[in-house]
Amino acid sequence: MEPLLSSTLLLSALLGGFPSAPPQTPVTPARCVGLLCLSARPAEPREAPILSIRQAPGQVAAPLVDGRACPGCPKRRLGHAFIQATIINGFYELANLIRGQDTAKITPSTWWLNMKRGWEWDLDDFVVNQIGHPYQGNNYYTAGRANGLNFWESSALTAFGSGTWEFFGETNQASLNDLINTTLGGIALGEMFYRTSWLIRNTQKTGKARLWSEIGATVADPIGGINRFISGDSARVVEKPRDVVPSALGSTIVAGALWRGSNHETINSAGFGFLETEVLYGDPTTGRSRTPYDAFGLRLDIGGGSALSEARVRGRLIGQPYKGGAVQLNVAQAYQFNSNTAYRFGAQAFEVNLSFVKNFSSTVSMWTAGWGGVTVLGAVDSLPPGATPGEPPPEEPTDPDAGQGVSTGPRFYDYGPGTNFGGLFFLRHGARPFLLFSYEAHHLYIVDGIRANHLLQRMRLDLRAPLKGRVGIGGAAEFFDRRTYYQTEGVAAGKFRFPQVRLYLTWSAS
Amino acid sequence: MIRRLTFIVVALALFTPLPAAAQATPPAPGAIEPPLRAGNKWIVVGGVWTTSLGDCTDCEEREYRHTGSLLSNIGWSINERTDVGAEVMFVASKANTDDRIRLTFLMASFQYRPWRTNGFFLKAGAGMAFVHNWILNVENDRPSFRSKAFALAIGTGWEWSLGRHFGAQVIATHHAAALGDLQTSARTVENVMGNLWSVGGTIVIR
Repeated sequence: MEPLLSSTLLLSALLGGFPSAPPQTPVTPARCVGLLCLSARPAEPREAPILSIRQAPGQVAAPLVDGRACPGCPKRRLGHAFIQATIINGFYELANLIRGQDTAKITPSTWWLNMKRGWEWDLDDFVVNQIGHPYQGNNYYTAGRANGLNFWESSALTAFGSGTWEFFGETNQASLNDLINTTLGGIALGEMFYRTSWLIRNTQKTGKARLWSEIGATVADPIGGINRFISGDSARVVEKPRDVVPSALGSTIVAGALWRGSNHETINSAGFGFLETEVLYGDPTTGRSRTPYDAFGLRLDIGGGSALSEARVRGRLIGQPYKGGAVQLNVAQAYQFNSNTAYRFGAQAFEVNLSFVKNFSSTVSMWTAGWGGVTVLGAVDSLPPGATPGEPPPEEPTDPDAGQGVSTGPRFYDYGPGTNFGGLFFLRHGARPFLLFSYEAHHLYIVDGIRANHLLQRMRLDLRAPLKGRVGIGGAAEFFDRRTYYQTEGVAAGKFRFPQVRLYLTWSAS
Repeated sequence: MIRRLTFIVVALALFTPLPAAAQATPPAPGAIEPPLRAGNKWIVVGGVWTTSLGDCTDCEEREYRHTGSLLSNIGWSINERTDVGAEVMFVASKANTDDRIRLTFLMASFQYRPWRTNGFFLKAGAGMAFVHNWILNVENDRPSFRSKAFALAIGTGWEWSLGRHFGAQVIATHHAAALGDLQTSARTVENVMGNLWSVGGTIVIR
């Protein structure tokens, strides 16, 4: 439940409003995007390359002052980072022990046994593996960030935390899928939460306003926040590190109802309420970038038939403009979680995307993008031959000898690597899109579970119109298509289609 | 022959660099000097001693086997601590039935040195493994097959500089090849997994 709770609190914090920072030195004016305000950022040419705080051109490390790469940066403490990753493991282990989990009764002999047996695929629940483990990985990652490590260093720390947890944190055999989900998912969620916490934090305030901004930031990034309270950084009045101030920020909250159909009926009359949050941090359509996640997109979809029906983070790792900036090439990392009638899907992926923006007038523009990439590991709900997606799994007898917390299976979803591709087309008036079309496809080659190739496709067309001020109205037509090609000869492929429509109100922060 | 060749490569990599490294790094013994720059190539070639374990859900006994393997990386440094590229590892062994076992890992690889002033590194990779036979013992059924597998590797080690462009590593890795379910003549063998632990030495060119 921790990830859901954290996400909900984050959303509450985002809606709560944050003060803007007064300019100190020659700066670009503070920009307010709805209730969210970006603090002032030292003026720089728009075309200037955005570099890591420790990487000047040519990748020569900048000298540290007082152990800090910049006045607002945390002190660089590599040893502390590794120790804190181990403490986080100790915390999760203790929590499992208090809950009475048999898997928490670790001893040196279970460590040795785990090292001797190597990796396996585990049988845990879909949500535990696709949300819980990435959230745990986010804790290791933010421990690295809180101790002054950069993106790549914190990524390695996440792998360290995840690997040590798998071998030494539980009596279970080390899980291959957990290592990947915790590490890659942890990096994606960790950098997103880290940057979100810096949006909330106002380092130029003092007193209660400062305290509440630090508490709000701690909700988004607990490890970073705790480190700041312990070190006293939570009270220092300094400028924010430059690389955590986005060049742009846009967000839209969408609330309404959706209705689904299936192979058998066009649209079911029973609908579901939903709340969707879209955040675009930075500007992925422009700029030479070597700072990972200086631009990322976040989508969080609550309700709509599941407690959490979609969570997606797509962060730019490298960006390069071509043709004088007319075309933008980005390499991105993606974390994805979907739960709907058509499929339950989770993935850790990398992709290359190509986009361009065309301005038709001073206010109307078009943004088009296409992407393709590799899914390192994806999970999709099992679909035995002849079965229909969304059917409840059959009742299976539980193993009475299994200890508490020991997953004995069967597991109703499958794992495998694959590919992904898609595209989007937006027409925008100012910063607000009024026509949005997106298409995405995911192919998975299952290596653990029912041997099959899955092709999951989704199309969505939104039309939005302003009502008053920041409030608007909109509707969407969606189409899910799921195809399963079994590797066993003679078994017919499964093909399923699910239409879906949405009606909603929007609130745009820009 | 391969085993002997591997042994020679491992022995050379393990023992030859030590005195040279001590002379080549006066400011901080073991340090990587000069500082690595982004964009440098990253080429690693060496040999490792590999212990492998065949496993599956219903396997009756789990056999450990020992053999030599070849390990290679090619890529570039993205900053002074981090290398990215591709990894190839070739493992050759024999089953009890004298069937040849061949495993080739082809993966994206990532290596990271937490400290700039010493040679300790962490390593990880993911990709594919191409498998020709594997150690299995399911109701005395030893299927012969070719299969692709999902591959993952983690590792750690130490790198010594031997000059501006050359270095040597000692390395310990854990590779996993997840073959999924295998169809034999009699039944489906579920959740077949190969775990390989390796230690050895490599030459590094930057």
